[in-house]
Amino acid sequence: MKESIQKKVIRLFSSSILMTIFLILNSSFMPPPVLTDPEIAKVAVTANQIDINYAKLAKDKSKNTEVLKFANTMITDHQSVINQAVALVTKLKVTPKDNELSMKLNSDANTMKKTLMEKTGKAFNKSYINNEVSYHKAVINTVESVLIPQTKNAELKALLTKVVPILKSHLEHAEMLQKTLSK
Amino acid sequence: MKTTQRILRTYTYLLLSIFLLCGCHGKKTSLDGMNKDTNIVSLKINSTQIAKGISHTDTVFISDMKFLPNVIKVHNGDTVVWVNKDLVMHNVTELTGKGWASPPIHSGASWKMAVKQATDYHCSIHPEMKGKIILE
Repeated sequence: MKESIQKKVIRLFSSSILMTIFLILNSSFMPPPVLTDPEIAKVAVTANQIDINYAKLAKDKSKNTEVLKFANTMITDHQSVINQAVALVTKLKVTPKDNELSMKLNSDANTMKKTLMEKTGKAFNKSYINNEVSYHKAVINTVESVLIPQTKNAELKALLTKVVPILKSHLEHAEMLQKTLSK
Repeated sequence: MKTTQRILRTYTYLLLSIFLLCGCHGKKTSLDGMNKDTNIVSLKINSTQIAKGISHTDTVFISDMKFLPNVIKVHNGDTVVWVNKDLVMHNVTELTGKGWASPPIHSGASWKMAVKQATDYHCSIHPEMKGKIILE
């Protein structure tokens, strides 16, 4: 009887070790995309442009003052970031280069834009703001865990680092609106 | 006999090290005292300025989507300057939206105001950015 308990414990222990090894191997088989600086610049500009496009759609479709104010903030802030990024790559003589991540961002955004275009009124406001919350979360994660660690040029890295608090403030603003819209 | 000598020696060492430790501590307190003195001097300068009615200027930096410092204590009539160190445009607006408000403060620009009353404020472009002015 005692022996069988011991065996069970050993089996459980070894299976959990196997599981951990499997998980580690699995995660290392899906590495984050490896990007060069021109590709990182393209991802940064694309991600900002996508949010400007969502905001322009909101300005066309929404009548909610708070949502419209938020959309205006998105347009001016993301345009400022794009302007800074363009000024920097021009100075560095770097040409932003299309890549898998920037193309995936664009194709995902096109799908989302179609979904949003089908909605009107309160349903549109809710979907737009919900998407702003999840989009900013995803972009913050990409900038912090993929773009910043992989950027070689110090000035580009500094610019990306300076953008993170802006994105986090947008996320907070969107979450605030999400609460008021759900009431 | 030898053991008593050894005990005596250890005791002396112990006493010596205690004295040394106290010495270090003494030095530290005297340094603290010096800091306090300099604080008193600067306070005196401030109070003479106030007595003469010289209003002074305080600076609030806007950096990484925050007002730094976010709470500022000033005297009636003092000027507060907001300096935008961010990439994006901000403004400074009285919290209820019924009071004072700055025009847009572009990246690298600044805006100043003579403070007449205590108020809570925010950036109306980024309403989660909040600040407070307290009157002393």
